[in-house]
Amino acid sequence: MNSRERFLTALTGGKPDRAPLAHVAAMTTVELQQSTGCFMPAVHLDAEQQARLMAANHDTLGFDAVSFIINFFGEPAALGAEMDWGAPDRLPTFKSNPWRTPEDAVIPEDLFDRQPLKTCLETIRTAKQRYGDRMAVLGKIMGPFSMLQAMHGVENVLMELLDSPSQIAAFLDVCVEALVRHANAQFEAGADAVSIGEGGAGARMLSPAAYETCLLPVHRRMIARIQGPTILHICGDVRSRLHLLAQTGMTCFNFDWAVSPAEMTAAAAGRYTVMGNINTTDLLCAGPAELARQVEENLAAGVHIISPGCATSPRCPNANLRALADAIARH
Amino acid sequence: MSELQELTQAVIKGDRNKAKQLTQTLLDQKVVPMDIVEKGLVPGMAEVGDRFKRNEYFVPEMLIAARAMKEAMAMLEPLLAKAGIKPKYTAVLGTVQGDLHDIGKNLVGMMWKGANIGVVDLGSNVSADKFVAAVKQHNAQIVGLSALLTTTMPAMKDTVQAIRNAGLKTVKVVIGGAPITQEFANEIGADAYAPDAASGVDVAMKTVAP
Ligand code: B1M
Repeated sequence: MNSRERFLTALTGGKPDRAPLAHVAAMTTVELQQSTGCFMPAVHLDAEQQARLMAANHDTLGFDAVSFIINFFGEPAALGAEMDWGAPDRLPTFKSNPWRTPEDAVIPEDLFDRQPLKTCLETIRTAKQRYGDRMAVLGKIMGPFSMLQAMHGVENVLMELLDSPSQIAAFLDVCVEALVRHANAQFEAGADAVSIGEGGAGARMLSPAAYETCLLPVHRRMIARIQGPTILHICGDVRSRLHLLAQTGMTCFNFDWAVSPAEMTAAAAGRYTVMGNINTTDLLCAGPAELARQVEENLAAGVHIISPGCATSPRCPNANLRALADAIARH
Repeated sequence: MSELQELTQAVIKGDRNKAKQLTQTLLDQKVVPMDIVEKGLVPGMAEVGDRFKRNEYFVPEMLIAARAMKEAMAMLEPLLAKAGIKPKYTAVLGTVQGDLHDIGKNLVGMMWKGANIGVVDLGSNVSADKFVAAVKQHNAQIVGLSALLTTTMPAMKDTVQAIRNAGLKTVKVVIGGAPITQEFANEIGADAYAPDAASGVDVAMKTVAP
């Protein structure tokens, strides 16, 4: 089995020769940027360099499935959010929220000619063409709630969820249109699966009741229209709404260390596959022995795909990330 | 229910209009501003903090409660200042350098204000030097550091170092944020760690008056 076959088998609940290693949230180390000569922030607008960094995550760190680097904010950047593109050791973030009212929320025809989306699609095409026979190439979109936070302001969105839910619903509909188009364009470009980064709905950001009434129907509608396997990422302690996740229709859920692997596999109960949950603080600060222990715990609990629980710091030592593949191989 | 109790309920529900209206009614009835704070607003914010701790409230409920409290406080602050009422302690608060996450930090600030701790909020992306200067300038007893990124945890360590190196021996350092743990607090020599905004009050109080 090659990496791509292994990943796709595990993603859909089959039995691979061993558990695959993957990442969906941002992961590129300063060390790898140095060894490939491809540095952030230039890579965010350079498909050739970004594809090389993706291949390095496979070749050097042993990841079976890799994703392009920009973590979130691709869609907001294309829709006019001002960006701080970061540095080799700093991931990008947005600096302004362009949507004040639902009337501002318009998706332009030329969405995919705008940066950085043009580069994201080109990166998938390049990575697929060059390395697609040996590794799985993943696409990614933001989750609608997280995208809206970037477009309209985090605190505004959270307060309006209680003050004027109909306005939030109207905004979310527009987000979904953009995101479905983007996800399907990524599949057309060759993505093997597309992840949905919904960190903004994580941890304590909204109640289980608000999730169920305001966001779950949106997730369900969106995922139904995406033409390929999806991996939903919501970070933080989401134990109070694990019972709702099966209703989203996602293929796989990427969870973090706030939920234990055993709790996660029990909640999934075979209705979707799960991917997690290596602690990203430990990837930065702990050593290979602790990371190997976490890999073992995930494998013992029946987690289908091993991955960091969230975005990793670019300052993570390569040796720590490599320790994950080594631990799986030893298992 | 008395008007003070109604004010408490308005804060708990995050009803900003009712909170302002009741504050005005109480002022019209010549209730002392400090009593409105201590018997009306503070119990409301304390209950909100407890509900958050118990997983009954989430960030949106906290935010609208904090907004109601803030708007009512804005009506009272000039009157408190006029009466010469000063907070018991002063805290300097901020998110460490390189980190823009400020929602958790703002909630901690709100809870501290509610507990009669004066808060000098330095905002987010605050350098170690700025923290040191503000502690000196305001003669603060507490300094609160927040960090949400694993990448900015080292900046927290540097800030604690800078505070110690500046010879600020008596100021108590309280830290918090999603990736922060008690072990990390011990490792970097912080005085205390608070897992959430509500515990932040007890923790801060215990460090200054054990
Ligand atoms: C002084 O004493 C104390 C005591 C207690 C203290 C305390 C201090 N401070 C906090 N507490 C405690 O009390 C509070 C209430 O009980 C709690 O506070 P918290 O702050 O933990 O909780 C808040 C009340 C609610 N939580 C939050 O506000 C954070 C929510 C999430 C969604 C989040 C948000 C909103 C944002 N983000 Co960012 N963001 C995420 C978060 C994912 C998640 N689901 O948690 C996280 C933290 N972000 C992350 C990242 C990577 C980033 N973010 C970035 C940007 C942003 C926004 C600007 C979009 C926005 C912040 C807006 C703002 N004004 O704060 C970028 C960095 C910007 C920067 N330099 O800081 C960027 C790099 C963007 C990117 N490319 O992914 C991840 C961190 C990964 C890691 N472990 O390092 C992340 C987990 C999301 C993810 N899945 O990738 C306690 O921790």
